[in-house]
Amino acid sequence: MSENPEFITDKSKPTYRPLDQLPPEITYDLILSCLSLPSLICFSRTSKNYRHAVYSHPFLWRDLLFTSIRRRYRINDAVITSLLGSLDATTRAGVRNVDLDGTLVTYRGLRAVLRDCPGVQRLSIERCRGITSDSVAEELRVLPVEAVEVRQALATALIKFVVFKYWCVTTCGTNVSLVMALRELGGRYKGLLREAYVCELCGVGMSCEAEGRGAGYGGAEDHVCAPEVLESWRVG
Amino acid sequence: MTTKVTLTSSDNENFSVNKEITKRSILIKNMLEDVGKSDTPIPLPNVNSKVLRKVIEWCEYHCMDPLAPTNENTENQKQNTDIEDWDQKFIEVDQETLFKIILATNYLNIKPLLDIGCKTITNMIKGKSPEEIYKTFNIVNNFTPKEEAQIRKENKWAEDQ
Repeated sequence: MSENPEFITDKSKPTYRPLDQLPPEITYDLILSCLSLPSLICFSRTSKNYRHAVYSHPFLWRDLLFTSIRRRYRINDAVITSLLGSLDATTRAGVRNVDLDGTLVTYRGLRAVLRDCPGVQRLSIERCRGITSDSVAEELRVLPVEAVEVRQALATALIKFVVFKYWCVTTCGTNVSLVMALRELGGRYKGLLREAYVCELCGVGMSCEAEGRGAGYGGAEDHVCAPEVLESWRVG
Repeated sequence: MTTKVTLTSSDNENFSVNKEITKRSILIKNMLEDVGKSDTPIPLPNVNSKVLRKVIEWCEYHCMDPLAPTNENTENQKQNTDIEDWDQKFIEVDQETLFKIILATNYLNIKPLLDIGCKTITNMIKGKSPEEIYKTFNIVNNFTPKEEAQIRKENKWAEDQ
């Protein structure tokens, strides 16, 4: 790793730099990949070289787990936008798991995640006080048709969000919470499945069938449930 | 009767080790399979005697462990940086030796020991401030004070203090 000599002023310092001796696949894939998000950010602040290397290494950003931050109330839309803006497009495309649980992110931050991270497969938004189920449903509606995986991740996140919402606000007991959650989900369920291209009979993501024939509704039209699923529905 | 294998370090010291123990190293295991039955010492030009002695000590202690699958990289493993007590004690060495052990195990292809070394480094970084990290690893902080202040402000949310 090259150093900028302009800023090296203390010549008496020893030149032994242990981390520079390790091959990148050890430093990044085995050492830095085990760090939580705050520790990774701290490490990236040690030098320009490491900052650049850390922010452009997709493997380190597969999981954006804000739950590892003790003061989650600091995580808002501005933080999300700024962090995503620091990552290059390839790195953002490599993000798979985003956990915003308990943060102050609103639909704007959520929209930034959905727009900038086209590879998201798992999303957690429970306890996000700035988010409503209507705003999430709207985000799902306006997502590009071809973003099938993101749609499915968002639909799943919305279902969990609804269940958790009633779990928290009701003090009358589990059954009442569940009834309320199911009532809201019942109103949304079919729309959710349709928006997320999930077959309402077999639960399969219908984009699977669309591979090679164009993504999105092309898959929905061509989708045929497995015979055993159709049979179980017929019997049921 | 147990068969012995001779390993030669980069500083030409010979180590006579049980064949089964040397098989913890995938590199040596493959070499032994390639050469067949032979008494020729195996040269290890990338490992000095001090480090090789440590590596052999680890292999002897762990000789009965089941061989780990080569491609295990589950989510749990990724965040889990716990090290067993004996290994923790074993890896309490000066920083230079620690890095040499990591390089040696990478070369010898001893995945469990490589993981222990890497976890140790990870634990040295975890929860530390940037100042503590660059002091620990002698990293040259080449940010200008202005850049440093700007980055600190941007990343305020990640600080625990």
